[in-house]
Amino acid sequence: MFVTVISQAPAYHLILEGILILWIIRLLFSKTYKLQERSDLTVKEKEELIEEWQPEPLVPPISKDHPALNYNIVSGPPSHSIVVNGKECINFASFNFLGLLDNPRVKAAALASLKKYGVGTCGPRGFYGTFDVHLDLEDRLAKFMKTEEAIIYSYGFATIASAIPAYSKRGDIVFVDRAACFAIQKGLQASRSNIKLFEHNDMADLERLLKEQEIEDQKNPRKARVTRRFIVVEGLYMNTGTICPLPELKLHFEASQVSGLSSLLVLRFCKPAAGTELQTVSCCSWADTEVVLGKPLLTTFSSVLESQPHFVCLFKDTLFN
Amino acid sequence: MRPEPGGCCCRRPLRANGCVANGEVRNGYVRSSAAAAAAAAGQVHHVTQNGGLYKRPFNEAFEETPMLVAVLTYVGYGVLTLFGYLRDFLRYWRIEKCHYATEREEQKDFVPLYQDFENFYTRNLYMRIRDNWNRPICSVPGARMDIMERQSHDYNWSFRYTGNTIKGVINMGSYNYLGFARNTGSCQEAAAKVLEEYGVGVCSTRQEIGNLDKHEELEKLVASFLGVEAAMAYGMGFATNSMNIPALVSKGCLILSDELNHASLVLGARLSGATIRVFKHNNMQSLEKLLKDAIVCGQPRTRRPWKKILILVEGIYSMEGSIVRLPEVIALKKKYKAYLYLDEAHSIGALGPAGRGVVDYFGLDPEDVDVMMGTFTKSFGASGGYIGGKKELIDYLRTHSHSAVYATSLSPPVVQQIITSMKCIMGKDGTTLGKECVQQLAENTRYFRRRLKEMGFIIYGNEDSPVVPLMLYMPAKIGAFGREMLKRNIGVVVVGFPATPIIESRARFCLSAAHTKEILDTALKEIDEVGDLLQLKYSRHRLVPLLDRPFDETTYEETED
Repeated sequence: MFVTVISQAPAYHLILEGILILWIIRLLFSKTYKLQERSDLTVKEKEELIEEWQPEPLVPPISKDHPALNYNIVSGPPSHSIVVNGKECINFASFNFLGLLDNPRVKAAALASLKKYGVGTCGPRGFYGTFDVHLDLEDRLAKFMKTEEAIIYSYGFATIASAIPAYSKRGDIVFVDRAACFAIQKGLQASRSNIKLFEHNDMADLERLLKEQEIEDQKNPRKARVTRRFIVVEGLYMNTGTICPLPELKLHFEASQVSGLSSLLVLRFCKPAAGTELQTVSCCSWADTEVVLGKPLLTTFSSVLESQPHFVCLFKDTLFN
Repeated sequence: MRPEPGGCCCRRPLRANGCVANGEVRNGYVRSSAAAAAAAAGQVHHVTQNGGLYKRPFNEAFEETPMLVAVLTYVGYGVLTLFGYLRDFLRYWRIEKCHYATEREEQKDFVPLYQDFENFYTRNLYMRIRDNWNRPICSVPGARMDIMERQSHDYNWSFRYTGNTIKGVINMGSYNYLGFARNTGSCQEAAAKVLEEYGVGVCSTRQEIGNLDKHEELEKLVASFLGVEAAMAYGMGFATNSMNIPALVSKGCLILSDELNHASLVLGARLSGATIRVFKHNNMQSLEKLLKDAIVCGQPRTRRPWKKILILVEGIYSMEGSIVRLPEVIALKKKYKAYLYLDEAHSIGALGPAGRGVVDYFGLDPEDVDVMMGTFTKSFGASGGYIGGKKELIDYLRTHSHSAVYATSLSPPVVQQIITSMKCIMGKDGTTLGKECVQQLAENTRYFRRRLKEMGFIIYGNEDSPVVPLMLYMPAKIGAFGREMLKRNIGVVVVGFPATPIIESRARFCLSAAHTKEILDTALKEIDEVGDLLQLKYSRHRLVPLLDRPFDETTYEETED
């Protein structure tokens, strides 16, 4: 019966089956091979490798004449005049825009809180490190910046470098000015988002990038629906000293709403005193900017806070997130 | 040092590879039926292991979670998750009021800022017990503090301050190890004087115009305190790690970091761009295997030799209360020519007979540690961080550290506080106050831990660490413990997911030299009461997992970033 089945099957079928059977036999009897050359080293060889390996020195040697090696020593308070390396100079170097560093009222308030709270907070905000003065400062900041709430951080660099990754994650897109300061760059690096740079203070370039992004979105609308987009600008640029053209930026913001771009969040890094200027110069309300980061006008409100507190003001109750 | 019942190591015969045997080994743990009897009578014997590297007994214990408790914890989380989904459903259909952040009307068609599921835990679990955290205080955070009373009428979505303060709450939460958080005394007077003289801030970076003579004085003092050649101080402890690790290592280097390292070390390692490999917590066999494999195999794929290998460890791990096995780490580092970065955020000032940190505690040479990092926030009552090491290292950091170039320097009164407190600890101010504080802290630690263990709680960590985690496990007990203790006028810190593994939530006590014996006794009495009320006394005085159990392939895993 088997023979009749075979004789009835078409010829090509039999030939194919025959070839397959021969192939299987070949595979069964051939030597197996490994994909990678596994070098199983002997213990002795491993020890030799360990002996031979020499790491680089932990840090490369620095020559004695490196310009940044020896700092200028300042003695005395850094106000409008400053004593550097024993010489009295006019101070054009500190970020003391409003001159509040040696204001007697500020010092008196600091002294009073030093007598009440001591110097340090001895804990993070979550574990008994929140003082009533922190809450008071946050309320006042929110009122001053005309936002709903504010949060303060203890170190300026860390504010920006941690606020950016808190909102922008891997896969999101950030449009940032080319002259953004180092802290913003580190924040962006930590966030692992896609970064698109536009020319310094050039709104036309930003518009070009936004239009390009729109075309990309139309190709893949599903992905576009879950990608957040942010624009990061500084109010007063630390690297170039120019002010960002906020009214023009606002126009783009509105225009992109029309064209269907999803989600814009503007982070602004305001220098002290520049904040008030921006309000008058740009004549647009703060209501359209969602997140505002900045340096406060006072250097320290009390000694309880650390050297340079910075803050983030938000419109929504997004703080606990 | 005598172990108490439930203590760690007992008299057992040593095997050739340095580990102990007691007949039965189950799941990697050594069953010590004779433990209780032997422990009560005998002394501890870690000393003779590893060729006498340890000059004093090293007692560390992490008691295993009881099975019933683990099951009930998972059930608890399951129930909470179900209710969470129910609540979300009700909120979506507007049956329940929606309190959390929503987009403004004009931005409704924007991509939402927060993915719904990412915040499921925050919305439904964290919110319900949120009153245990961010408690505002209005006095100095010493041994006793005043907490501002707050109420919530909408289940913790918003708080209202009643205006009352709860006075004299015993503070078991602040990092005030040596009791320098004071608003009177020599530290405060010196800081006030400097405030008058120098003002409140500096407004500039170290490399520009922000380097005061006070900073130079501080750095010399820190270097002599630690016993190193030079030191450099920074404005923030967290930022010290995240800005200086990228300056030391880069692409082509290898970082071996402990499983339970702090977020600042992890962030610094990620920002540097080097390859990161994680070894099991405080497990020297795991570390050795990683070192061997790294040197023998080289970089992944290209097989080129690594440029440098940096081991990141902490002195005291703040969530576990464990102390790093520094003698073994240094022995490994010397054998394999790696570099060691020691983060002494919690251990500086708190450990060691002279308060000089974990190096002093083990009686080792500070020159063996390549980079000694620490913070001034915890034991010195100020703020900021430092890095100490050889002069070449500090010179390099002065020129290349991100913080020196871009971030503002420490504020003068804070610098003065550190200088005064450090001189006090060293004894340079002529009094013995520093030495007394260090001894008081050590006594407090031993006493507190012993009493808690006797009561029957599960306590993690090393015998000598002033950080005492008490296991709670169940999510409901986290909230209950915090609230009950506050009712009894004691402020504690409770931690849950994501700072700890999901079933291992704990309450963490931070002891202080400012705590007198009466305060500790009051606290212990209340903890005993609450422990009985909430049934927290899980310890069964058995099953002591040895951390240097015989090493086998399956007990560790290697992750690459």
